[in-house]
Order: sequence, then C-alpha cells, then structure tokens
Amino acid sequence: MTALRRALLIALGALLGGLFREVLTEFLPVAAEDPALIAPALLVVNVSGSLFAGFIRRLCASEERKGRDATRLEATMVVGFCGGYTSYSAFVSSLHEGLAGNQPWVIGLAVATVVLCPIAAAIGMQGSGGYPPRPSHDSAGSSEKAPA
Amino acid sequence: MLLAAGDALSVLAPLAPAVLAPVGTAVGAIVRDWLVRGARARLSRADLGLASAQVAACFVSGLCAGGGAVLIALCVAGFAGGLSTWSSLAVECVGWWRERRWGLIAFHLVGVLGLSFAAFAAGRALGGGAV
Repeated sequence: MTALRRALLIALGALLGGLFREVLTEFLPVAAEDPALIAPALLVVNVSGSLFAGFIRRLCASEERKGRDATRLEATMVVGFCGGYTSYSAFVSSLHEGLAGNQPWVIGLAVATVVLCPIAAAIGMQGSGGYPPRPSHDSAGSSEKAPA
Repeated sequence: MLLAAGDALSVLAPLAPAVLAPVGTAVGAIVRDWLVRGARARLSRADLGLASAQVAACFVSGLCAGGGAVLIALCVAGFAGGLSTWSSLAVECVGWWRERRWGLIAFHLVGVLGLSFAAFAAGRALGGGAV
C-alpha cells in the first residue's frame, strides 16, 4: 500500500470518527441543553472506541495469520476511525477544566477513563477471538513494521 | 437573491463545526500515523510516537482553546482530537499488560498524562487563556 493510499484511508476513517465524536460530545449535550453531559459523553466515546479498536485489532491479527492483508482495514478502522473517534486531548482538556472549576466528579470520570479504556479494548479483543498471539506493543496505530 | 443566500449561510453557520471538526480530525490522524511510523522506523519505539502525538495534541488544544468557534472546531475538536487517541493507547496497554511491562503502562498512563496536562496548561498560558 502506498503512503498516499494509506493516508487517504486514514483520513476517510478519521473523518467519520471525528463526525461521530462531534455529534456525541458536542451536539447531543447542547441539544439536551445540559453542557455538563459533555464529560460523561466523552467517557462513553473513549470507552466504546477502545472496545471497537480492540475488536478490529484482533480481527486484523486473525486475518494476517490466515495470510490475508489487513493493513487497509487497520488503517481505515483502527488508525482512522477509532483514532479519530476517541480523543486524548479532549480528555485532558476536560480534566483540566474540571480541576480548574473545582468539579471533583471530573476526577472520577478521568480515573474511570484510564481504567475502563484498556479493559474495554481487552473485552473487544476477546469478542473477536481472544488476545493476539503476539503482544502489539511495537505497533501503536499500525501493525506494519516499516513505513510504506 | 443575496438576502436569501445570507439567510442560507446563517442557517448553515451552526453546522460549521460539524464540517470543520471532522476535516481537522482527518489531518490530525494522518500526522499521528506519521509520528508513530517515524518513531517505529527510527527508534524502534512506536509508543514514543504515540506519546509525542498525545502531548503535542494537548499543547495545540490548550493553545487554541481560547479562540473563536471556527478555530476551536478545526484545531481543538478537529486536529488535536485526531492527533491524540485513547483507542490505540488502550489496545497497546493490553499488550503491555500481557507482557507484564508495568513500567511502560505507568509511563503512558501516568507520565504521559502528566506531561500532556502540563502541555495543555502551557498552551493555555501561551494562548492567553487562564491556567
């Protein structure tokens, strides 16, 4: 896969992921006329995105074990969609605003995010056939070993 | 005719974030992938690319947080949101947990979080916002 094709796939996935996140964390709380819902909505987004990323990552590992090329699926769905759907900076921003505004419940949401996201990813992996045979610590964001 | 066009634009204006944020997210995600792949190729440590993306995104987020609606949609919700990610970090944490690499987990969940928080505060200060 060429670098341009990979970038286009990532952009396509991230475009959709970013739109979903924007709707869930910005438009729904505003529509509900309760901006306090933004932080809990972000928790839901980050946890559900981690669950989905775990599911797809394990699926990609299974496909690669069968000799099939899963780099397009991973680029679009894991790096693009899930990466664009979840947001670490929004989490840090929310934590910062919560601490500055003396809202202790935001710390609870932050702890919940840190604990629940990896658990959700593990559950997602189990949902698509169990943990990968080889830990993917060297593959943050991609399973490819070298740039295309 | 112009009046009608003006009315249409005013109706569409609230939808601008819905367009700008995903576009910014797409650009941020491409930059994140470039950082991760670069760190893997040069340092054999993809996680450092991810960490640098997280910290940079928080700095950009803080820097632009005090801006107007368009800047916030494009750079904060969009670019910084796409540059940073929880899902990749969560998946990597599962791998580190299985390998009992507690130091890496602590580095990313505590150290990088602290750095990101400081980067956000620094960005806010530089951008003219309250720290």
